[in-house]
Amino acid sequence: MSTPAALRGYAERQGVDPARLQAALDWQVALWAGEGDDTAVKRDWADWLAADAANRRAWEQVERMAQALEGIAPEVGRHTLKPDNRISRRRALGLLGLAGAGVVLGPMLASSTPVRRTLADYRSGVGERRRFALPDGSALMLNTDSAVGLDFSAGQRHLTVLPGSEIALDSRAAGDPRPLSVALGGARLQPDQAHALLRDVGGAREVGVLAGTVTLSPGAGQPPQRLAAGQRARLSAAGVRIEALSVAQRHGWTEGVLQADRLRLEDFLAELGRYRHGLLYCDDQVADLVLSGAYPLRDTDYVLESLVQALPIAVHYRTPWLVRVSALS
Amino acid sequence: MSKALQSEIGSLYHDHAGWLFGWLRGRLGGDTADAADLVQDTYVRLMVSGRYPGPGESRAFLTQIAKGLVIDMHRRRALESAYREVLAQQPEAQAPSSERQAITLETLARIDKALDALPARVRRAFLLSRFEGRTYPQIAASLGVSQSAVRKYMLRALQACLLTLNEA
Repeated sequence: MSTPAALRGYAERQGVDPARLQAALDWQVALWAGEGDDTAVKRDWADWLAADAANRRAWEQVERMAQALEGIAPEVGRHTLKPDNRISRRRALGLLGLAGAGVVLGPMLASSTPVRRTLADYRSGVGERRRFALPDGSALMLNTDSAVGLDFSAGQRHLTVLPGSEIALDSRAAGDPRPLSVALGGARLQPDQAHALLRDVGGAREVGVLAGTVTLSPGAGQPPQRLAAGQRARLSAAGVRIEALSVAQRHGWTEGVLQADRLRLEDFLAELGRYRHGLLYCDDQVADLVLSGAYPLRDTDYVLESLVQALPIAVHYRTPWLVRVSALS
Repeated sequence: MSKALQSEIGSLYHDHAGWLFGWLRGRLGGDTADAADLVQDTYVRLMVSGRYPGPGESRAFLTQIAKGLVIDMHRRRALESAYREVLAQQPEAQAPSSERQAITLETLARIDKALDALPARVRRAFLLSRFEGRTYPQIAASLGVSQSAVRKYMLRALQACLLTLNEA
C-alpha cells in the first residue's frame, strides 16, 4: 500500500521516514488484532524495532497516538463517539443555514507546524544537553531531544520552541534593544531580562521564571499574565495555572539532575525515557508506586539500577532499548 | 513572523473583524460571547495556517474559516454534554481532575474530527476495536467483511488519528 500524501507530509514534519511510519502503523494494527496468541507478532515487532533507530523514531509517533487513545476510558469512548456522526454534522450545518450546500471545509485547517523540526536552527539529540550563545548574547540551553527556531531580523528577535522540546533561555546578558519574543505552542512569551525554563512535552506546556519577568500571552482569547521570578505557569486547554517554582524545579535538568518529588513510577519512567532511545515502560501493578529523589541524567541505566534498590520492582532488558519494569516476582 | 505578515494580519483585523463579529452573531442566534470568541479563533487559525487571502477575497476567506469553527464548536459541545453524562453516572470520588477532563475532551474532539472524514464502516471498525474490546475476527463478522478488510479499515483510521491526535 502506498503512503498517502497527508501521512508523508506528517512524516516529513516530524522528521521520520514515511515508509517506516507506514510500517509502524501496520505494526500497531497487527498488535491490536486481539486474536489469541500473538507472541510471534510481538516478537517480530520487537525485532523490527531493534533493527534500526529510525524504526524506533517512527514507532514513537504511533505510540504517542496510541497513548492518547488509551487515555480515553472505553465507557467514555462508547458514550461520546457514535458510529454514525452524520446527524450531528447535519444539525450543525443546519444551524449555519448551509445544509445541502455542499460546503467544502478548508483543507488549510489541517495544516500545522510550519517549521520543520529537522530544519530547526538549534537542536539536541536524545540524551544530550547542549548550550548555545545566541547572536544577541542570550544563552540558550537545550534539554534532551529539543529544537528551537530562530528568527532575528532588523526589528525583532523571535524564537520558536518546537513541540517536544525543553529549554532554558537566559536573556539577561543580551543588551539588545529589539523586542524579544518566544512562541511556545499557541502561547507567546516576552522575557524581560529573564532567565526562564520553557517546556512543551507530551502536549503539556510550562513556563518557569528563575530571574526577571516574563509576559505570557496564552492565546485562545485568554488575557496576558506577568510572571515574576519564582513563578511557574502551566498551560492547558483548561487555562493557565500559576504556581510557585519548587526547589526541585529550579535545580533540575539544567544541572543534569532529574528531580522526583513524590512522582508516580509511571510518570517518572516517562520522564526518564525522554533521555533514552527506545521504549521504557512499566506494568500497571507498579505504575502507582511513588518515589522521590534526585537522579543523575548522564546514565539512565544507573538510575534504573538504583530504582531496583529502592522499590519492589524488577527491570527487564529485552534489548538495551526495549525496557520493561515489572513487580518483583 | 515577518513584519509584512504582521501588518497584513493587522489590516485584516482592522478592516473585517467588526464585520465578521456581526456575521457570526447572526449565525449564532445573537450570542455575542461565542461570536467574539470565534472572531479571535478565526484570526488565530489564519495566523497558524500561514495562508492569506488574495485581494478582494478577505471576507470569503474569513467566513470559510469561521464556518468550520462554528461546526467544530457545536460538535464539541455535543461531545462535552455526552461526556458530562458519563461523568454524572460515575461516583464522585472517581471524578477526574478538571485538567484531565479538559485533556479527555480535547482528545475526544480530535478523534471525532479524524473519524468524521472516514467512511461509516471504517469508523465502526475502529470504535468496535478501541472502545468495545472486539477482536478483528469479531469485527469482521459483525460488519460482514473479511478480516483483511478490517485491517485496512483500522489502518485508515489510525492514519487519520495519527494526524489529528499528534499535531496541533
